[in-house]
Amino acid sequence: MFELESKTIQNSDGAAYQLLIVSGDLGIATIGQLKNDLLAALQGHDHVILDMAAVTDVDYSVLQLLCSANKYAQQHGKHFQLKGQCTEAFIDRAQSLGFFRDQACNEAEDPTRCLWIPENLN
Amino acid sequence: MQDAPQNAFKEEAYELLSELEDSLLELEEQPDDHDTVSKVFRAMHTIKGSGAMFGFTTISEFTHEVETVFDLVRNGELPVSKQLVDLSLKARDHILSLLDCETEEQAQYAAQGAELVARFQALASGGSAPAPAVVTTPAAEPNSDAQKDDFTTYRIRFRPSLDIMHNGTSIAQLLDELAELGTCRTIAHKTNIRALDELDAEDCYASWDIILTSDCGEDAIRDVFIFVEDDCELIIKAIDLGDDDDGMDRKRVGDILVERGDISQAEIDEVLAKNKRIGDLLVEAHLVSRDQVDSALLEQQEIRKLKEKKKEKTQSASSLRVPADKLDDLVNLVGEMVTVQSRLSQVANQRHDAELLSIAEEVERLTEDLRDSTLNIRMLPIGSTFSKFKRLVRDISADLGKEVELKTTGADTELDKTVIEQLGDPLVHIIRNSMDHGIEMPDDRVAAGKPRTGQVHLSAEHSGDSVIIKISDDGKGMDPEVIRNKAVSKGIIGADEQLTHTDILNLVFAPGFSTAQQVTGLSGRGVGMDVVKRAIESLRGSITLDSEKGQGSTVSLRIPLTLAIIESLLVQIDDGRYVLPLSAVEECVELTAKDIHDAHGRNLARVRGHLVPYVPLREEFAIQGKLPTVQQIVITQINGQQLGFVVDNVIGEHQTVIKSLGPMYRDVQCVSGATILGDGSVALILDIVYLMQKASEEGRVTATA
Repeated sequence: MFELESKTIQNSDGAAYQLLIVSGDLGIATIGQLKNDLLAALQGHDHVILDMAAVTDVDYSVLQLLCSANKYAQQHGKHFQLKGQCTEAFIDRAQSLGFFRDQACNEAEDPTRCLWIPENLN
Repeated sequence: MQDAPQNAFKEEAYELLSELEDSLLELEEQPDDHDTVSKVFRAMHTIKGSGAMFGFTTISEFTHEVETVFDLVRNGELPVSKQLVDLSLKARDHILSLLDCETEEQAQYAAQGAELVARFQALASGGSAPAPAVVTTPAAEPNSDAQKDDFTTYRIRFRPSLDIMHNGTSIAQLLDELAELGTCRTIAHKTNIRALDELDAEDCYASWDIILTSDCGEDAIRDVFIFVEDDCELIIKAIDLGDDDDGMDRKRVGDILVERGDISQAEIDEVLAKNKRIGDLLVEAHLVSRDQVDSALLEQQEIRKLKEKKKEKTQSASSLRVPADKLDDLVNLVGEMVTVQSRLSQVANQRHDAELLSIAEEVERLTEDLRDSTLNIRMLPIGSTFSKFKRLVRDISADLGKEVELKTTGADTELDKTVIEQLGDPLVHIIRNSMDHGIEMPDDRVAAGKPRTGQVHLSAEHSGDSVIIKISDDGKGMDPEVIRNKAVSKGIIGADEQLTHTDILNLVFAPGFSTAQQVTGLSGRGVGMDVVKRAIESLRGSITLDSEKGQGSTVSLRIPLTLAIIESLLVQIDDGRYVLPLSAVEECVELTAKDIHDAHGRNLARVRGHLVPYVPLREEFAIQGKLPTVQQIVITQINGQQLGFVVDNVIGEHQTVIKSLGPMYRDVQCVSGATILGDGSVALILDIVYLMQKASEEGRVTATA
């Protein structure tokens, strides 16, 4: 099971973004729930950051969902970012499933925002 | 006359058979060595396959039966037993005799073949029940029949169906399992992943390219996907490493994409015209996705790595088969070259022309290198001969009812091919002698407080420009008394002659001497150690014997590395020039008229307080002419014996290309050959061993301390 906490963060310059803090095991069993949460957040906000630092396990469906969310955001002129995803569980899985890239794929609306390029791992 | 491919098959088959013999003997020692079983199987398989291809049907059919049995062994269904090894060795001999005879004559071996086949079949059918004569049961590991370091790179395309995850399949787990098979590079094609609002999160939209470098077979890869077979499209292809001959060290990305069917060659050519990196171009042109290019790049890297590995491997083992006579021609030419070069050097020295001299020196240096490399080509490790003896020892010990183990060291010592070939027979004879006369029966050995199993140790090592081969056994050794009595009864020595231990031992080299009380079928067939000695001496080698009663004997052979060109010392007597092998020469000292006078006609020279006997070659060869006031003694040493040769003048070192004297001079002793000098004249090569022997018979030689 995972837990999701949603917060609105206001920058000093007035810009706001929605921070989703997710924790626990993410996987196919709960993927529908996570999808709905993400979709809702992206529909309601222009800038969504998903903090994955407390995630203990991911599977293919999660990586697929993240990729999909990023696509959606770009198609709708929004900004989707990951934060704290460099956990062992996440990195190992993305590596063995062959998700990481040197360059963004050519379908990307904005190649700099690809989730899988080195620049966007933090 | 048979045509070339068939001869090539024969050549290959001979090689395989000799390998097969080695492997079988190895297998006897280590019955559970799976690699060796595979080696045997492969050898049989190759003989069968190429035999059928070149029309050797009898061989092919026979080998098929043997192969069948070894297939069972390989699969762990049949244990390796002594019986199996025995039978397989017989089968190997049978194939050899089939190879050796003409097709029409093969019928005479039919009965033998049929009998062997029947025994193999009996063994195979009996093998399925637990056999009592088990040495060890080979551990039947799956996949271990694959060659150990034969890595293949596979391109695996895995396209799961959309609903693959619905029944609980974990793609991550599948890929992890795959990664356990070898080095794995994985790339996911994410192009088809939909945007969030259109996504069914439980469907799988991606597909994968996996580049796997592994020693496992395709089946092992398929096994990973066995439970999802119906839920995915799986393409596994061993990647062709590409052709090395075109000078390209790797496949181009474009080629890989075309090969995979991602794009056509025409599309590539069009894009290529724009002169950018092909991967970027293709992506920009929206012909392929970035994922596809990345995946192709991965494959390219993986292939490059694998090729580098293979290169390292082939570099160490690559070889070229060249007929021996071509090499002989080359050696002859180098011989001529050396002769001409020494003439050039001589002329250059006389002219005092600095430019000519420097050219001559350059040529000299090059010729020396050329000579060394050429002679090196002919060098072969003596190990091939050694392994022949393993079989010999095995067979003889079975015949004699003795337990003998052959140990070899220095199998990688290199010797000239001709020398190795000519060494075979003498070595066989010495080993037979050791086993027949030396090693005792197992019970006698136990009674004498020795281990039941006797040992024959065959070793080879380099020593200067020679190789020393030693054959030692831990048998009963030689009894000097017995040898002495025998020699007396044969009239070789007088009854009251006083002889040293070494002298007595050396009597076994006398013609007509045989120490066996009974003549057995193995040694003592009238071919004595004298023949061995002559064979070794014809190789310009020497043989010594050492034996301790009850402890065993050691026969040492000292064999020159090559027979074609030697370093030698050129000397002069009157007008004639002579050559002595430099390896035997110890030093040169002056011999004055006073020395001769002081020695009172005894032909002994005092060298640093030590008396050295000498042979005045002038007298020996009955050369007339004026004696120089100071002569030179060239002191040589062979087998621990010192002897000086008196000559008029020592000219210096010389590269001697040995030429045989021809049939007319076959009976001439004292000289072992001739060589052509730089000025075109001929110099005779002195047969030091013979001269020393002659002097020794005349009682002139002393052993050095």
